[in-house]
Amino acid sequence: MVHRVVVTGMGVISPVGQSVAEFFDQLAEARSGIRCVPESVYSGPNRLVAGQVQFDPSRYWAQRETALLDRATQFALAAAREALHDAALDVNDDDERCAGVYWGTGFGGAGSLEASYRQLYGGDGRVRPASVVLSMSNAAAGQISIANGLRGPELNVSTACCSAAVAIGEACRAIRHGYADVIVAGGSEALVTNGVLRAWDAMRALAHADPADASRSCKPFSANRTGIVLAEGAGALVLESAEHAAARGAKVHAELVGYGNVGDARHISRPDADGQVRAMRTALDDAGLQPREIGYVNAHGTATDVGDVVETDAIRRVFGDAARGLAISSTKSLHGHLMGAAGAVELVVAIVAMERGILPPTAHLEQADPACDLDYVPNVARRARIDAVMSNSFAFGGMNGVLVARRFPR
Amino acid sequence: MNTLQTIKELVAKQSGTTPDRIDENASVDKLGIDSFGVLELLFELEDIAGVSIPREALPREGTLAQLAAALDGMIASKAASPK
Repeated sequence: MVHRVVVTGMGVISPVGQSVAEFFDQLAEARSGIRCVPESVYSGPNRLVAGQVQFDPSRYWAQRETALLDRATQFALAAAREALHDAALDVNDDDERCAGVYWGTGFGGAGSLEASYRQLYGGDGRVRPASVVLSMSNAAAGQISIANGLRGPELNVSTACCSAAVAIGEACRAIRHGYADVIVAGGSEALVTNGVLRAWDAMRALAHADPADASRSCKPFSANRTGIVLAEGAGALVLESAEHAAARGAKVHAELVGYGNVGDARHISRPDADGQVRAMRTALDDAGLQPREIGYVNAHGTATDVGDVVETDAIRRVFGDAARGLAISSTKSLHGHLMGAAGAVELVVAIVAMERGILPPTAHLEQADPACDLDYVPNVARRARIDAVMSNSFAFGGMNGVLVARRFPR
Repeated sequence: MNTLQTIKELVAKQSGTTPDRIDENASVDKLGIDSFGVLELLFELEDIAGVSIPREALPREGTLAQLAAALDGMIASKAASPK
């Protein structure tokens, strides 16, 4: 038996808001959370910008508890807490079919790892006892499970920029095919650290700080775009079988209907339109939807020279004539690239857009690029009734994760 | 070095409280210090005291007063037989 899968709870920690409501409101008003990286974080030669979260752990935990939680794990726990509260789910109501955790992260406990190496090689040569459990890739997934008593199936996904999208897609499949009734799915990332920024800068992939206004530095699809803005945060969704949700009278945000996971098999960092086309088509086929039934696409849109053109090309090939009437936006323009958490926060954007009938814009689209000539909802949000949405996440390694959600009930 | 006072200050810092609120005769378990908290405490004491402290110096049922006494012993042995 194949179960339908619905979203009954959502939570977000991001550079523009630390709740789903605050997050979406800021995006709808085109308010950017991107700022210059302070010298206390980054000590390299170039002036860099990033999307950082003004996070106060003492709102959630006592000091002793935060000592065991890397920043990325703290974001994960906070987002999962909001999502589970939103879902009003009692995870202990069924001993047999426990709720699971499927979580994505590109880097895991990056800050803790960097602190450990700094101490080992540059400091007193010692390593803190908690270093392993702080920095291991599955720390967030494990801590979410422990904090919330989730004893079901667990998976930690690391597929770079599409980690969260893949975690959510795999969770959807697990519920569809009866491996769980409920899974908390999403992703977290906190890699705005000196070492990581230097490594990305060395690839010459990061945006130049906008000389007039640092908050405008991320310009997807604009002819004067200069590259990626790294960001941190987390997104969590409670996925549930439709029957389980109905039996407990849960409120449903949307139905998760399509998942496309395919590889480019071309280049370790350069994106490829063929792979993206196949990923989008796979997700649409999985959803049983025609391209023209999609009302809004939250693009991957990282503002690289090549990436934005490749994605434009791929969308045009998938949507054909329908591409002209399709609204697409890259909200990375406002919250930055959350890396392993991107797929989760961006799916939340797409679902809330559908719920509220508001499409958030691609901000800072200052100069039209003839190679990116689709409707990117430039600069200002727009009201629209839409019934199905798509979220794209395309990653280094040539990995692609595309998700499709639709209004529920139909 | 006032060993017990130093230990209480470290534990207070870890817990976000003040040394006078730490009961040196309560077990580590009762104080709510988990296994990582114990390791962190011994780690910092090693740095301060300049001696290597075995994990057994502070078991779950041990107290901070007992740790202080044991640590004083280790510091004294080291002073008595310098290498």
